[in-house]
Amino acid sequence: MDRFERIEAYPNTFLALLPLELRKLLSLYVYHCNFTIEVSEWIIGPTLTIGTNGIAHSIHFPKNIISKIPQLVTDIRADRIKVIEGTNLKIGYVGADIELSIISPTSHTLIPLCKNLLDALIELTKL
Amino acid sequence: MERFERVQAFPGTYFEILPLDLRKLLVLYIYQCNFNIRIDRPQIYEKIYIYTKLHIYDVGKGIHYTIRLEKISIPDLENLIKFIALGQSIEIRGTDLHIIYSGFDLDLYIRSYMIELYIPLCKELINTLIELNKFRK
Repeated sequence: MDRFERIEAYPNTFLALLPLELRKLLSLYVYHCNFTIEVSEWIIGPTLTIGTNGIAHSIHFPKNIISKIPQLVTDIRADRIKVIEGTNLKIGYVGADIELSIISPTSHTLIPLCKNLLDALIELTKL
Repeated sequence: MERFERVQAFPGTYFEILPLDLRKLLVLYIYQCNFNIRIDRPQIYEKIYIYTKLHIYDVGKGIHYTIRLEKISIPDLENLIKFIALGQSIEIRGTDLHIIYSGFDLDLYIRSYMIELYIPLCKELINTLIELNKFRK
């Protein structure tokens, strides 16, 4: 299931009334990222780099969190609250498609949930 | 010294030829932040909030970074400000945070557990560091 088609995610909402192609278009519009996102493999591990307003933010994912990402993605798709934890990194999804919360001991980043972000998470697990 | 007047910072540059007020206008244009900064100072640690949305409480409308600066981890804030003002590179290593200014006014590099952050050096960012430093005195 593609989370952003919203078919199974919100089966009883008004979106279910619309034709699939229109739903797809709407969700692409709503979930369009307003930042750039890149996945790369660094010596210290898989890395997600987010760029916006001149700020570049790289998050290194410890190995013990990578294996938990598929479950996180599944829960996001089903709109279920989920927190996964690895060494010095915690990722939380609180539902309602608002944001992804990434916490390290000295920082906290809130990233709007958008299609490219989900795609990037899936790509991370393939590295 | 006002860092962004560039008078003392780069004494040999073309900026020196221009009248002070024009220099001020130019640097205000160049060094305007295109993001928002706020600081918070609870008792245990200080926090810098950097966000690209309009308001700090707007959810899902932009990216929001919070950086925790503990006094123990970054005791040398005053030195960092001084070096940035002079345009000289400096590296500050705290217990759990690492800040680098490499000169040339490009950005401030902050590294901590699992994250790296490049923040464009702009006037408000410097003002925030100065304000944080005042709190500490």
